[in-house]
Amino acid sequence: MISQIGFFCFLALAVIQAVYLFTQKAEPFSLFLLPAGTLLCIISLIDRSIRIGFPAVTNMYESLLFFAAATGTILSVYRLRRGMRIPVRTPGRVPARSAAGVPSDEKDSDHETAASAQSARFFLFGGSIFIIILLAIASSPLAPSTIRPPVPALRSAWLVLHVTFAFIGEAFFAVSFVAALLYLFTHDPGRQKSLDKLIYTTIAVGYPVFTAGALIFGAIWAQYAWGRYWGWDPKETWALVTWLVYTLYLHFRFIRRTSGRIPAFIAVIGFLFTLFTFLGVNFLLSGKHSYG
Amino acid sequence: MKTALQYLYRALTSLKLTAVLLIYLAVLMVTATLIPQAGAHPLPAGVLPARTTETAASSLVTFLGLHNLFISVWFILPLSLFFLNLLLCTVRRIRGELNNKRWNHYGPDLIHAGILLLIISAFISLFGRQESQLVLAEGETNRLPNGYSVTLLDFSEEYYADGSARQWHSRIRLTGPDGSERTEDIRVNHPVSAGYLSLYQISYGQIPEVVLNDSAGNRFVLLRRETIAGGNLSARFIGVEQNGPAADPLVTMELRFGKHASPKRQSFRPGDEILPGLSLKQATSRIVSVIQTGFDPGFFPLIVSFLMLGAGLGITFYQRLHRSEKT
Repeated sequence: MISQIGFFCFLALAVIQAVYLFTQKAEPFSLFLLPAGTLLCIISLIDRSIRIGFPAVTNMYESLLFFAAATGTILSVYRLRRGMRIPVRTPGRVPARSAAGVPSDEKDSDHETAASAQSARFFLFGGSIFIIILLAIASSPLAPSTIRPPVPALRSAWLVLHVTFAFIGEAFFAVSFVAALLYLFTHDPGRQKSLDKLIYTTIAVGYPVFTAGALIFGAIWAQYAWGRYWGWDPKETWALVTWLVYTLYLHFRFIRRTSGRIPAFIAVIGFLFTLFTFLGVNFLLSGKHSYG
Repeated sequence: MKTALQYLYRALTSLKLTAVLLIYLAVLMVTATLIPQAGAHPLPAGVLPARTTETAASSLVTFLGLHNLFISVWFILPLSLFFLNLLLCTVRRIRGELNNKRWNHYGPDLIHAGILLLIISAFISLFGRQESQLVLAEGETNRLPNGYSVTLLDFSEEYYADGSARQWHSRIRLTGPDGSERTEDIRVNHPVSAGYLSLYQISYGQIPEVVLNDSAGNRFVLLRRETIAGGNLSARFIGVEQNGPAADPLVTMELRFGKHASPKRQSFRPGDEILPGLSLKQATSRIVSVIQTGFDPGFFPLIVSFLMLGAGLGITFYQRLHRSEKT
């Protein structure tokens, strides 16, 4: 029930964001709806945790809720850091250029600020849509919301660390995916610059968190539960492949110092792998991770 | 000669090679999740039905070793090449840093060293890992390869209010090679050490058993596949079929009349005579605890590699983000 109210918060938020997407006006309630929806998801998780007597991250429904809450938290922090009002530049306006064709510093800076603000609007809207999709899957029969306590193998602190860190990392990847998609569909250099920074920053934060959760804590938990830290289970394998894709992204950015469409494309591919690791493996392949 | 070596060194330290190997390994791993792997979920002999026909595709998979991809040459060789590539890149990087006296860029070196140690740990595990399973009923004892003996004293389950399982406990007695004894409690996620081996509670199950009585009133208990013999006659317990909770269980035995006679399967109900003077009293089941025993010499270096990886990632991304915020 609580999570459903959260779902409607995100739905209302997305509608408001869509209506105000191309205007210069501040979106009413958006600063409130985003954290409110997120908070409701968190409250729902806390409620379930109290009922099962264990952190509620042990089945598909709870994982989806946690994923949505983590993504909502990242977006809320981003939104709050940007302030109450996101200024938007007039559509079609381009920076004035000097006779030599080089934009003046001041106008260039104005253009970048406006482009960055416009990107932020699209980015937050994309983020809201992603959360709505997650919560819609959580409301579907694919993820039964029946409250069931965890099976013995899942009763481990390492499991909690494994799942929470993996999903926080994936939430950063989700945010980078939204930014990367926007990057691929925009031709405005100012907007591209701000989106590129967003992709890079979110992957740079998400990558170590994902590494810790999906690979390190997961391996330690498996060692304690089954005496085998790695078993080439489909989910483990796909998580490793996802990690390799983001490793490739970071090498492009760090060593080749490449920015632009190729890293953005890798970020999109990386998140498609993340999604398959989470949902595709559960529904299409069998293994030890079939519970969530 | 020198040019050829230089060319080889350049090729082995190129980022292009790293990218190609990463993509190749990723594609191979994805493929492995689509082909059933023999090593990933080992099944006891006899669980899979004997293959009667072999298709061209299955023959090809077997011939190329694709059913065991992670220990095949298709995986091990490129992984080894990746190891070499990473090792040479790391050495070159560290040498460059030493020459330029850039002491504050050690984050990526820690990450690379961590990944190298992780690959070494994986190889140590691959070749040095020992594991087996003990299936023990209460009171039964089994000997471990390191000289310890394990006796299951008691097996119990804890349930939630809704009736689902919360925890499985095996109370065991461990007898060391020197005769010392200690009692331990194994639970899921809480392994116990017996010398260099660790014991893990992984599951439990029920195995059928039959109770037989002879004419003198002696009682014999047979577990599945156990045989009781008298002279040239023998009976082997095959299984129990229960058709409804109220119905008598139907016990299948394999009878052999004479050492060289071919066996014959026959079903019995409680009270029936199986062999002359030997009748079936009852068919029941007993709970067994399934305990995994294992030793992995690669686990300790793996933990060290994780610490290096974690520290390296933390340092690198803190420095990068800090620098990016400054600019």
